[in-house]
Amino acid sequence: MTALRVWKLRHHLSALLLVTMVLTFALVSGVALVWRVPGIEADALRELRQEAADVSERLELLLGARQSRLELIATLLRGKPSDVAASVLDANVGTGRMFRAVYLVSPLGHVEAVGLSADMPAHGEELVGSDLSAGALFQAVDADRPTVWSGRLLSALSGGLVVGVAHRDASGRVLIGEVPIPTLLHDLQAVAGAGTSTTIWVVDRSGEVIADTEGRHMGRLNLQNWPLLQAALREEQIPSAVEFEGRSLQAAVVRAPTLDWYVVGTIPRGLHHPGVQRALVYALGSFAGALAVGLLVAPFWANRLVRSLQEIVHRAAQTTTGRALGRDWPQGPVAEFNSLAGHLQAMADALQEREHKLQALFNAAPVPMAVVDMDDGHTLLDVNDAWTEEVGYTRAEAVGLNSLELGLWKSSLRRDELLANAQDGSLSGEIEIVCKSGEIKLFKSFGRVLTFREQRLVVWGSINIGPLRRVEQELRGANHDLEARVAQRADALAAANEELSATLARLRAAQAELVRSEKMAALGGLVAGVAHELNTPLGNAVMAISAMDDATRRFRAAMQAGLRRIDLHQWLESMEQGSDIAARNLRRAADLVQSFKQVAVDQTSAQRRHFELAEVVHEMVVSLRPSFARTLYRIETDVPAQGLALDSYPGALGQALGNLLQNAVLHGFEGRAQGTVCVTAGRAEDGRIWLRVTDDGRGIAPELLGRIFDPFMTTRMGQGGTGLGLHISYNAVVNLLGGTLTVSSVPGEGACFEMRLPDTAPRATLPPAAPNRAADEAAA
Amino acid sequence: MTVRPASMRRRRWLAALFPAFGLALAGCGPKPPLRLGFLVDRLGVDGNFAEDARNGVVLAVEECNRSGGAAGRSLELVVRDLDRGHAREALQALHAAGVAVLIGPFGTALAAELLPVAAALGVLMLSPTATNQALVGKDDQLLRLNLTNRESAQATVRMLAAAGCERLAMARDLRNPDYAVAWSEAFQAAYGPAGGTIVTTIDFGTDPELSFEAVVQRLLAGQPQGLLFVASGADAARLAQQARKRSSSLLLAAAAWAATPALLELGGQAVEGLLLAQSHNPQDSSPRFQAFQRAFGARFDGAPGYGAAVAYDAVLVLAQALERATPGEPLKDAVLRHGPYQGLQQSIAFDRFGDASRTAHATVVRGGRFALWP
Repeated sequence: MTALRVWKLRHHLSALLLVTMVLTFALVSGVALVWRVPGIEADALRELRQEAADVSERLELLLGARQSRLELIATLLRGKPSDVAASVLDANVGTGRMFRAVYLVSPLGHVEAVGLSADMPAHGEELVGSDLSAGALFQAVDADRPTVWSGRLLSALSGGLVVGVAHRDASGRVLIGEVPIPTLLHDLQAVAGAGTSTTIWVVDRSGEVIADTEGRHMGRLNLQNWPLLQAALREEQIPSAVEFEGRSLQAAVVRAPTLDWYVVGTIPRGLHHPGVQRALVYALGSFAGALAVGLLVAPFWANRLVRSLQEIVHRAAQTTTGRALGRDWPQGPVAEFNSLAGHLQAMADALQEREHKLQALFNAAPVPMAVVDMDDGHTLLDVNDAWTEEVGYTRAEAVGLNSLELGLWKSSLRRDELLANAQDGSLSGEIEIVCKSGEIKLFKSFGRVLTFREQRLVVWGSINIGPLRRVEQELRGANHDLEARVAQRADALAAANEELSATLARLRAAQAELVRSEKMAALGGLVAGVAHELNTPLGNAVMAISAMDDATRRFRAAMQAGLRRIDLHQWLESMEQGSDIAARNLRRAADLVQSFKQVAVDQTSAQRRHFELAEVVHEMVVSLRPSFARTLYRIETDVPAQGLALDSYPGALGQALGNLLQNAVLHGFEGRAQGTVCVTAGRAEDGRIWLRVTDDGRGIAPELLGRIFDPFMTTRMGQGGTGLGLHISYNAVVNLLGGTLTVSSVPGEGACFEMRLPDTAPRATLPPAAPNRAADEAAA
Repeated sequence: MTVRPASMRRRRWLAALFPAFGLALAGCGPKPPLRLGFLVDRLGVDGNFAEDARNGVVLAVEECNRSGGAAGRSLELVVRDLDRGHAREALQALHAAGVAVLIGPFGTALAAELLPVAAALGVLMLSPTATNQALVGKDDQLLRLNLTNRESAQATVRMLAAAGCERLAMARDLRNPDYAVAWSEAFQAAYGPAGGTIVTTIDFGTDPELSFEAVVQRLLAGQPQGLLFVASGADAARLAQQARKRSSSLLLAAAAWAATPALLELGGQAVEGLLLAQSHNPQDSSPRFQAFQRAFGARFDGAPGYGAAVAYDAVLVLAQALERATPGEPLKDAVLRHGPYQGLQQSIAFDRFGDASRTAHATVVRGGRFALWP
C-alpha cells in the first residue's frame, strides 16, 4: 500500500493556490502555444522562402558581378597575345577582391596566361604552359554554355578546392577565375545577413554543400539523395518539412539559375524554432512569473489562514501534554476554525474531566498500582497514591525510572522471574519490595499486559500481604495452642464427666434414698396424723371413763352418805353417757387403726392383689380426712363401689392418690380458705379405668405444667415441700401400675389429674422376694 | 525503524521498471545503430580525394542500411572536418558522438598520430589507405586494408624496371613525411637491387618559396630517365605539368598516394603515361565493381575514384564482420577472426595484427584515366 504523504495544511493551501494558479497559466499558455505555433511556423516558412530567394538573388548578384568581371576580362583579352594577356589579367585580379587567380586557357587546354592576386606566391607563373584540358570547368564550358560556375574546382594553383567560374570566348579560349572558399563563405554570410536563425546552404547540382552559413557542412555532406534536393532537381513541389540529422526542419529551396546552384534555407521546426522558442519563453516567463507571484503570495495567504488553526493545533498539543489547561482557546478570522476551537475546548474539558476521574479512580484504588511500559525496560509511567504511600517514593521520583533503577528489588533475579512468568498476558507473584525508607515489604502483585497503540503496558496491582502473613503466623501458633488446650480441656472434661457420672450415680442413689425417705416421711406423717386422730377418740374415751369413775365415786360417797335416788339416777345417766362416749370413740379409734393397718400394709408391702378401686379410694380418703378435719376443705368422692375391680398394687395406687390429694390441699388451696377436692372414677370406652382428682384451687401455671412431674419440682422449696410427691405418683402410675397420669389446669380455676389404669397391672419382672425394694425403685 | 518516503519507493519501483522495459525493447525492437566516423580533410592538399572516399563510405553505408543493416544494426555515418592540427580532438568528438569505428584515417601520418587516442578511447580505426610499414605487425586499434609501402614500392620498382628506367629522380612531399620518407626508402631498398639508381631526390612542401618549376629543374639536373613523385595526386599532376613543359619523353611515375582524380583533372595531358602501382584495378569489369560504379554514378553524379573504392571496401569488411560476430564479441576481434571478407575487387584477409594484404595493380594514365599497365 502506498502511504499518503502527509503535509501541513499551510503547505496544502499553498500548493492548492500555487497549483491552481500554475495550472491555469499552464493551460492558458498551452492553449496559446497550440494556437500560436502553427502561425509562427507558417510565418517562419514564408520568411524562410523569402530569405532563400533573397540570398539566391544576392548570391547571383555577387557571383554575377564576378562573372561579369570575367566576361569583361575576356573581352579585354580578345585578340591580345599571351604576354599582354598576363598583364591584363594581373591588373584585373588586383588585390584579389573578386578573384584569387584567373587563368587564360587556350582552346586546347594549355594555360596561356595567369593573373594572380597580390597575396599569391609569385611562382604561380609556372602554371603557364600547363595542360588544364582535363579540368572540370574547362570541359564544362562550350559554345552553348559559355559561362559555368563550379563549387568544387580543383585549384590548378594550389591543388585544393576552390569555387571557380569559367568563361569561353568566341575563339574558344577559356578564362578560369578562382574564388577561395573562405571568400565565398564570407560573401554568403554577408548576403544571408548575420544574426538570423536561418541556416543557408549553397548546394551544387551534385548535391555537394559548397558553402553554408554555419561553416561546418562543407565537405561533409552530399545532399544529392535528400528528398528536398531531389524535389528541387526534379522541379517538383518542395516539401516544407524535412528531417536532417535527426532534426525536424522547415526548408525552402531556391535555384540560382545563373550559377545552377541551389540555395537551401532551413529553420528548425517545433521547439527548436526561435519564434516558437520565444513564444515558449514568453509562456514560460509568464508561467514562472505566476509561479513566483504564487510562491510569494500563496504561503503568505496560506499562513494567514492557517495561523489560527496552528494556534488551535498548538493549543491542542499543549492540552494533550497537560499544559494550558483551563485557558480559553484561540479565535481567528475563520469561522469554522473558531467553531472547531469551541468544540475542541469542550472535548478537551470533557476529556480532562474523564482523565481526572480516571486518575482519581486510579489514585483512589486502595491497593498500590503502577503502570509500566513493557517495551521501554518496564519504565514506570504512573503510580497511584496507595503506591506512593506504600513504597515511599513520590510520583515525580518514580515515574520515568524502572523498578530496578528505583532500587525496589533486593535482587534483579526475582524481578526477571516475575516477568518471565507471564501467562496469557497476566503476571502474578509475591515480591519483596525495598521501600524508600529501606523497609522491605512483601507484596502480592498482579500484572496484566494491555496493548495500547502498539505500546505494551503492564498494569500492576499489589497487596501488602506482610500484615496478613503475620496474622496467619499468629493464627497458626494460636491454633497450635488451641489444640493443646482443647486436648487439655477434653481431658479435664472427661475427668469432670467421670466425676459427674459418679456424682449422678450418687445423686441417683441419694434420690432413691430421698424417695424412700419421703415415703417413710409420708408414712411417718400418716402415722403421726393417725396418732393424732387416735388421740382424740382415745382421749375422749379416757375422759368419759374418767367421768364415769368420778360419778361412781360420787355415787359411792352418796351411798355412804345416803343413797338417794337422784344420786342413783345421776350415776346411771353418767354411766350411760360415759360408756356411750367411750364406746363411740373407741369404735372410731378402731376404724382408724383398721384403715391405717391396711394402708400401711399396702404401702409397705407393695403387695399385688385383687381389689375394688372404691376401697382404696375410701381408705385413702379416710386416712387423709383428719388432715382436712380442721379446715374448710372438703373431699368428695364419686367412685362406684363395685365394677372397678383391679388386679394391681393397691399400695402404690393409694400412695399416688394420696399424693394427688395432698398436692391439691397443699398447693391448689394455698392461700384459700376453702376448697373442694373431688375424686371421681369410671371406666373409659377403651376398657381402662379412669380416676380423676379435681380441685377448684388456683390451678397450675402453664409454664409449670410440663415439668409438674419432674423430681424436686416444687413451688414451696424451703417451706416444707420436697418436690417429690407428684414425681412419686407419676412413677407409680406409669411404671408399676402400667397406666398414664396426665394433668390439665386452667390457672385460677383449679387442676385436674387423671389416671388411666389397666385392669391388670403389668407383671413386674422383679423377683417377688424383694417386692418392697422393687416398688421403691419403680417409684424412683 | 524508518519509513521510507513513498516517493523514494516509487522512484525505486520505476528504477526497477525502466531497465526491464529497456531489456524488453532491446529484445524485440531495432538494435541501436552502429556509428561510423569519418574525418574529412576539406581544405587539404589531397583536394577532392577526401570527398571521393567519403562518397564511397556514404554509398556503402546507404546500401548496407537499405539491405537491412549489418546483423540487424543500421549504420550511421558521422562526418567531421579533420580540422588539421586538431585531429585528436576531432577523433574525441567523434567518440563523444557515439562513434565506435573510424573509417580512416587515410594518411599514414595521421594514423600514427591518432593511434594513442584511438587506443585510449577504444575506437577501432579501419584505414583503407594507410601503408606505413611502421604500422604493420602491431596489435593495435588500427586495421589496415591497403598495401604496405614495401609492397607498393616493390610493385612500382617492377614497373619501372619493366619500362627500362634505370636512372630516376624523386620528388618527395615532406608535408606527409611519414608516408613519403617511408615509401621512398622502401622504394630505394627495392630499386637498387633491381639495377636502378636514384640520381636526385628533392623534398618539397616545407618551403613555400620552392616552386614546382624549381623542383622539376633540380630533378632534371641529374639527367634522369624518369621522374618519380612521392606526392599527392594534385601535386604529382602539377609536377608532371612542369616536367612535360621541359621534356615530353621523360618517364613519369608516382607513388600510390597520387592515384586520385585530382591527378587526372589537374594533370591533363601531362600525366598521360604516368605509371603507378595501386591496390585498385581501375578497369575491373566484374559485375560487382560495375554495379558499384553505376550506383556511385547515380548517387553522386560522377565516377568513383580509388579512394571511394577502398573506403567502400572498408565498410564492406566491417558489415561482414558484424554479420559474422558472435554476441558480445568486441568489434576488433570480430573483424580479425571472421575474415576473409569479400571486397569490391578481391578477398580481404587480415593477419592477427589487423594488416590485410592487397594485390598491387600496375596502372598507367591513359586517355585521361587510369588503366592497367602495360
